[in-house]
Amino acid sequence: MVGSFPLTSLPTKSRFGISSRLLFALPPLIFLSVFFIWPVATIVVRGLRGSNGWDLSAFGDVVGDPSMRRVAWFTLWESVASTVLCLLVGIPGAALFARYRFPGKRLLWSALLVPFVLPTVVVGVAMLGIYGPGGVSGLTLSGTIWAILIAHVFFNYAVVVRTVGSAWSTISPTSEDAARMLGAGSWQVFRRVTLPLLRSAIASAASIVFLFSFTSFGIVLILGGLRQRTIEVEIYEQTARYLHLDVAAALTLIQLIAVVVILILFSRSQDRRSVSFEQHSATSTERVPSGFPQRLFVSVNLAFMAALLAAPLVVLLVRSFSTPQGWGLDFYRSLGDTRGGSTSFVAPIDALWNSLMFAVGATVIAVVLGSCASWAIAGTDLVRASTRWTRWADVALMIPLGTSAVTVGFGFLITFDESPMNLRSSLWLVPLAQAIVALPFVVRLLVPALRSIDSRMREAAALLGASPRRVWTTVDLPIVSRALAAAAGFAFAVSLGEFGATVFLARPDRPTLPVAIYRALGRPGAQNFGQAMALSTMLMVLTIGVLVMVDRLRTPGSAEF
Amino acid sequence: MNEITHGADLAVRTVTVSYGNPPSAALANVTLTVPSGSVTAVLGPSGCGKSTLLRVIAGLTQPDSGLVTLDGVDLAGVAPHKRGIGLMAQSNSLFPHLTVGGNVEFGLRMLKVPSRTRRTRVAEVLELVGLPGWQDRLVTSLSGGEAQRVALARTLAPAPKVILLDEPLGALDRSLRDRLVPELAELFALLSVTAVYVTHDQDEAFGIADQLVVMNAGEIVQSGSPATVWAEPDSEFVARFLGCSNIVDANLQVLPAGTDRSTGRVLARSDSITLEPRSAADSAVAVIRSIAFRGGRCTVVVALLDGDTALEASIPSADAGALMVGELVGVRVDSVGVRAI
Repeated sequence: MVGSFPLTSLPTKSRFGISSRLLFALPPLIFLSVFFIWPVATIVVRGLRGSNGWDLSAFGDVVGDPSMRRVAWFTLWESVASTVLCLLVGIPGAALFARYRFPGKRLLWSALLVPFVLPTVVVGVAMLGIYGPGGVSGLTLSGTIWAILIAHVFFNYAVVVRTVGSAWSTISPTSEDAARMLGAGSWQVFRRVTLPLLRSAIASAASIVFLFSFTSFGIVLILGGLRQRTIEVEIYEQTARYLHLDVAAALTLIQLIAVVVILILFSRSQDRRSVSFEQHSATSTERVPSGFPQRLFVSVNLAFMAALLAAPLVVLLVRSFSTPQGWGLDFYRSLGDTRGGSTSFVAPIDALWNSLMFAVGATVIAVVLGSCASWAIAGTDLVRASTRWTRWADVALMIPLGTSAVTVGFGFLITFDESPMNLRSSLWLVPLAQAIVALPFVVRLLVPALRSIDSRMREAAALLGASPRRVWTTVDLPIVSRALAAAAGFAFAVSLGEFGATVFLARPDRPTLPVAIYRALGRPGAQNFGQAMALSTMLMVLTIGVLVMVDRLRTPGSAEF
Repeated sequence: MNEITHGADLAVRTVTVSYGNPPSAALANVTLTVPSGSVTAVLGPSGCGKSTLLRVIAGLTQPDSGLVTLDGVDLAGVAPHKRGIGLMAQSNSLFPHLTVGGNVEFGLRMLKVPSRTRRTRVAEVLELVGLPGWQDRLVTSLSGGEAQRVALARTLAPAPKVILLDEPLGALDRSLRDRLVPELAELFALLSVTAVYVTHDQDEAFGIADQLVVMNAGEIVQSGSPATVWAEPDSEFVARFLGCSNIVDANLQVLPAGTDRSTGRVLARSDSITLEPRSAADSAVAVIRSIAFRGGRCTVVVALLDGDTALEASIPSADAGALMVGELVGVRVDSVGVRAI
């Protein structure tokens, strides 16, 4: 794969003008057109077109239906509540990282990402283990709004802590000292100086959390019970349970519009970043906590983080090994059964192989196309901002990141089930959908790495006597190959855990791990629940393993998310 | 101009601050008195503890022992924002999200000053620092010198009893600093403010201070009027820090004032050394190592032939025209510029 990159070493604009970048941009653009724009267009057409031409009646029926309005209303306020809750617990965590020094800080900073990247199904199952029926906490919250809110905080806590925390650590403490010397008490300093300086970071963290909560699918499906439904879940139910494809299409359309609006607001909040932070080394802002209030603040936050990180992991492990007969491997052993307690005709363990196979396919697609796209986008700094099409390509590649996986899955389902592209029974359907979901992550990891290669580094190497080939092997390759490996790992992890699109597309005889877990949850009995725990544990271990490797490979300066 | 600040007597008594593990003293037993309405310059190399001293006075750092008093009142336990002390930092600490006016009125807001009074006061101090009518500008659009003027206005606005300045001109270039130092001195005299001015630049300190305090390694090594400290440095460190590089072991034929030893270390000011044709009878002979043109005067480095000793002579450029590197010259030292250490 790396072999397609020697071109980056050629610094001259003349040899690599717009035409070559267009060449690189073409494959990903074609791919996105076929596997993203076409399905979305199909959804639009399906939602707005009745049997006799354009017809808004299906759309109107959905908008006018009180139960649908309830779903929309629930989605909205659930997202607002999740966002507010995440900010309330996340901002103190951000302060902890920005202002205090404590042992294990860097490790914890990386570890916080684990919940964010865990598959939603795994988190759902872990939460069921904690506060589902018979959960270790003794509380039964599943089916209530709290089950969903807690899971959303678990997922998005790191978004707030890391986004706001990095911005916070760049605020020079001299501003805060200055405010104190001008007579501001601690609260005044926070309200009048720190908070205004953090506004844009908080706004972008809040928009990301809001977006993720708005498009939350796996969590709500597993923890929401019958009454709590987001638009995403409703789309799935209308499709899979009631086969009301027109209703599902209309709902998807509403969802798409909402997402676009959120994305526009998000990019606005980014644009308004008019305040320039004075850059200084973060270590100078850190201090060892001293005095009771500071120690209390640090301890409470650290305890919260430890509980947040450890509880679901421990619960999954413990419950997957605790059988009705005591500790044992029974649940893991039973994963190979095709008969016995399991009524499905696929052994759950097969899902592991399906998952690995699909994820490898999706990773290859995402990395190949993502590399082309990244080179096309990163190349723009040669003629920065002068070419409108590259910026357009940049935006086009980011849209799938904001679009929900359910939209992708549903779009695939209704687009590729008939000629000219009948992929209904093709094994490629799932990897293609997962690649669409993973592609933006690949681009977001690769573009900063490519841009970090300053052309002056290549010039310096060349002036020191390196031939173009040597320049590439000594400058470009070490930087790009690390980022590429990290991107591949991330794409693999994302594909492994992908649920929203896969659940629409996986054939009954070819479930992936998340789908198998969801099916096991849907069947009664301790045996099935135990199997779900065991499968979730396997998926969790696999994901964390991949991400530990990725974290070691991340290029400094790559996007936080 | 009505009085914008009113001074107070500031005293620091036996303050000690230690950092790190094992603890090393950032300030060791520092005692300092700043009379009301006077400016004290604290001079020292970076890391000598002078910024820590300011932070202790401001209340931003708690001393391990010792106390800070204002008009005789102990400030221990008084939070920084209640001390009535202003601090102006070296780096740009202006609030980037507020305008110039918003920055300057910040302290007045904290005092809950009514908005009409605030506006008047803001206009007044902005005029004082030479930026009349700049209220609505964005601080992100200011140059370095303008930003420091705004920072000064912000510090002055709430009429603090004491103003602490931590290398306020440190980030500015030489020529701008040379312009601003007399302006600041004039302003401080006009306002008769009690000020502690921390710097590592001797010219700034000389230009502004009523009292000069030299610090090294957490301790005050000498204090006094700028003229006294310059003329009578107590130690080799102070002499070198104030720019005297001729510190040599010598046998003294003529005892300078204040010493009764005939051998020992002495310092000789570079302008007390004259170079003359080597034929002169009683002068030492030296070889010229280098000649550096510095405008009106030239700095000539010579090496005495009877050893390794190098001396730096500052002579009028007109006299230097005849000298050449490698030439032998006679060296004479005027005893008025010699001081034993």
